[in-house]
Amino acid sequence: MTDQLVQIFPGIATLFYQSPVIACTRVGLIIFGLILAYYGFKKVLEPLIMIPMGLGMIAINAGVLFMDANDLSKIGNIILDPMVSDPSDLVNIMQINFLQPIYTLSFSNALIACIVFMGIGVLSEISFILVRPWACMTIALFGELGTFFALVVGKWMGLSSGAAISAAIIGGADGPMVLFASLMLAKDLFVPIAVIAYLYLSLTYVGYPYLIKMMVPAKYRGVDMEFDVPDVSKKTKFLMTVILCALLCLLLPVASPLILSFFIGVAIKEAEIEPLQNLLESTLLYGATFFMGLLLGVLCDASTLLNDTVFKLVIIGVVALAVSGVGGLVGGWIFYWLTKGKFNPLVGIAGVSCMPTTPKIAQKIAMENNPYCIIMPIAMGTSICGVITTAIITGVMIATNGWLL
Amino acid sequence: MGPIEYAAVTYGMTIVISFGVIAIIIGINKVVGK
Repeated sequence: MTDQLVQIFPGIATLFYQSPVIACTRVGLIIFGLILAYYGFKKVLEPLIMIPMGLGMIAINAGVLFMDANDLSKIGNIILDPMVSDPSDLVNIMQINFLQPIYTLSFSNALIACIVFMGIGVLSEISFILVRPWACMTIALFGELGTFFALVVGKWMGLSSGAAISAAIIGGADGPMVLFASLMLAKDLFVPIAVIAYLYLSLTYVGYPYLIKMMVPAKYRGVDMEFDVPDVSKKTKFLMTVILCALLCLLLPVASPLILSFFIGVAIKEAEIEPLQNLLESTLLYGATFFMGLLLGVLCDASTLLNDTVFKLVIIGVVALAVSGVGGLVGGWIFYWLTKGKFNPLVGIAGVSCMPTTPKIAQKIAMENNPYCIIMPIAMGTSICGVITTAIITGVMIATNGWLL
Repeated sequence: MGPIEYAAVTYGMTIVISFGVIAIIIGINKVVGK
């Protein structure tokens, strides 16, 4: 009778055949997935990522079964196994696990991260950098302080150089960069780093407003800024894009897939190739974001996530994003003082990148305090600079890891 | 090289490359934009 029940309800039965730690973690992750999906639905967290991620997390931890009826110790699922590396096993498993082909052929080689970056490129308006170029880039550099601080913390906590760098890049607040760096430098920790990174990036929408309100008193949040968005011709912007792409690929070949992806998006926008623009901006960007969220959810399998280093990664991620946020706002304050009060310090948060979340947060808080305060163009320019600096840091760190650290 | 020195060196490299990128953007705008 018991054997028949085990065969009929394997999802529940496996909870009693696994170690208590894994079983409890599975239940915890099912509840956590439910919370993420619900807060995504309520728009507290980013719904584009959190709804598929929450459901994926629930399904992977609930849908566990016995893989061999004669050997109840073989427990698994028919959704995804990220740990398979043997080519023949991989070919076999791709015919069984329904998300395995998408994971193997698009996620684990960073293709999906590059597609997201193409979409970000199409959404970027490069002329916003020219509103206040030096200020935008300086603030973006302040907004990267968390990356460097978290790197030191990671090494201090005993992580390998590759793992410390990959986790620290969470401070740049660009999900695709974190995926790319962890694939290049810490493939064994790719799953927990990616999951933690996207979870935190989604939480910035909730957490950064509190940080801003702590560091910028209400009377400074609505400071008016005078600026003209420069009238840059399409030809100029296109040439900038092509030259910068060539230069950055020459300087940082290891980050060339990401650099190419970002600038090809910008180039398509500036060249006004409408069919490709629509393809990247809506179909591919939303499609890639959906599958990224779903895959991140199904990667949250209890047995994959239960790793000794996960706790350290959780701390490094928080430290990285918090210090970057503080750094960006300090940059905003420095420009406020340098311009004798003619610069809104809220722009600083956009230096953390996380485009377009941080510029939106800055504009929203500015308008709550002064309905006529427009800082969006400068915040977007700063955020684009943040994307560029994160790409540079990723390239520099991947290239120098091993011989400098 | 220790992690603090490494962080300082890579931050320095990032600053140099980033400001180089901005200088190029401004330069292209001045040369081509006219």
